[in-house]
Amino acid sequence: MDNIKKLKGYIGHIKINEEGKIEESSNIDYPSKLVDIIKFNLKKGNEEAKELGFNKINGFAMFGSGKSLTFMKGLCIIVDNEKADWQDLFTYYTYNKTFIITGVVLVILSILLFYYGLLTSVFDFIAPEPRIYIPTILLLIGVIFLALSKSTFSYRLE
Amino acid sequence: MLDNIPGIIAIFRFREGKLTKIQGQDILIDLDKLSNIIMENMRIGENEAKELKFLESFRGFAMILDDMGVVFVDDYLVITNAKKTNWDLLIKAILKGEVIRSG
Repeated sequence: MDNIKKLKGYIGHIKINEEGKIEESSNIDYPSKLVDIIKFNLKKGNEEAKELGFNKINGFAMFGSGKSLTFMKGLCIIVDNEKADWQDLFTYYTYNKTFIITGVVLVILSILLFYYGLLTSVFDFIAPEPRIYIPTILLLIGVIFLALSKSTFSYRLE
Repeated sequence: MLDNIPGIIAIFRFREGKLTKIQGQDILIDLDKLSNIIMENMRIGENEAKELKFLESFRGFAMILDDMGVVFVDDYLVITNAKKTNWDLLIKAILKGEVIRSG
């Protein structure tokens, strides 16, 4: 989970498991104190959620004047308010594997066809134009697949 | 200014223990219960910030209840659709105190 440290405004983080035990802690002064506070807030938040007619609390954030903390899915991140990208902290992108694989295969195929069609005599029995536009179309479709693979926008809380 | 931020359901001002809607849709939440919860959470948050130090001075909190975002900072309460809103624009505006034009 090195990605966590690359989040904008990252200061430190702590990861806890279902039982509330610390799995990872980085640059946190009093990890056990912080975990106690998180556990208390989750319990309290769940009670409040029920009182207001919801099922559960999915996450929370606490804002200080310079730094803040967010907690979702067992991960508490401390950030610098000025530098943080809150959308990154609350949500993340997932990648559609099928789309990535299809895209990569098409791009590789198109590069091979460009190479064999233009620089070798393998496809000399085909007219020159298709040797350019077939791989071009494949390349375009491949790039579209790669672009779409990132479109699945997931919620960090799920 | 929250006018251009997607997914905002309603904005409230919190004054003397009461929530008053400034703009947005009606929400199906008991406002008295919500007011009490806000006050309690601010009290808890302030104590926790004192213990943790890095959160001082405590300004507010956000909670995501199911798919609803509840953000409370500087006496303003913003209710959002947690999946549709842009949290970056939202929280930056709120922390800058740009909840409403006149505020």
